[in-house]
Amino acid sequence: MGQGEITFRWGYKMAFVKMTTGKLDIFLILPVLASLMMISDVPDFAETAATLSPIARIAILVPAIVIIGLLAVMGSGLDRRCSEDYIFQLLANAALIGVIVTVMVNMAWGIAKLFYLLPDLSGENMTGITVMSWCAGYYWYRLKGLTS
Amino acid sequence: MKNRLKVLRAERDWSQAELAGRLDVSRQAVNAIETGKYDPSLPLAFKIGRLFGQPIEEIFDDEFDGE
Repeated sequence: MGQGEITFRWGYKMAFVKMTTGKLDIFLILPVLASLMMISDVPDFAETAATLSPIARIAILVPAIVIIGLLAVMGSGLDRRCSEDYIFQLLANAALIGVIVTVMVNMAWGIAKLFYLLPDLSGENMTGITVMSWCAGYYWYRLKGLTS
Repeated sequence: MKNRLKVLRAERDWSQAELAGRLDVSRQAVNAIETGKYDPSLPLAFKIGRLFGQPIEEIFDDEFDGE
């Protein structure tokens, strides 16, 4: 269970150390700490140098989403082959929690801004929320089980 | 999903780590299956069935009574 080897389509072989839940339980403390720093980040929006039109935003972001999305699909496939099914299911389910929490927090913050003088959330803050909720989801499923 | 993995393992006097080694998964994965915290994938379920020489439905019970 400790080590494995994968063969790529073009014949290239790569050895790797298999990730276990025991290692991941400890390793995920690092992104939790990083997410705390990201959430506490106070952005200085005055530093923004230029504004982008809606068309320019679409022109930049849509190709970026497609390209990075494809890379993520490839990376995820590699991840699935390098880790056992249990870990992959834990991380995949936790990622769903991360996405849902991020969307809901963003929505709740947007609504709260209508009533209170709250600042905008920065990209750094949003990333921190995603990472922290992903890790929280992982630990939840580890303790309560994937069938909870 | 209920399963008889713990019973089958005990019959062979295997530890969780030993079973995990035979299935090429982690001990935590075996523990999660036994305690009902994780339903194994179909390939892993087939592997478990082959290891114990029993069909999957003899080991795993989906608690569906068909009514």
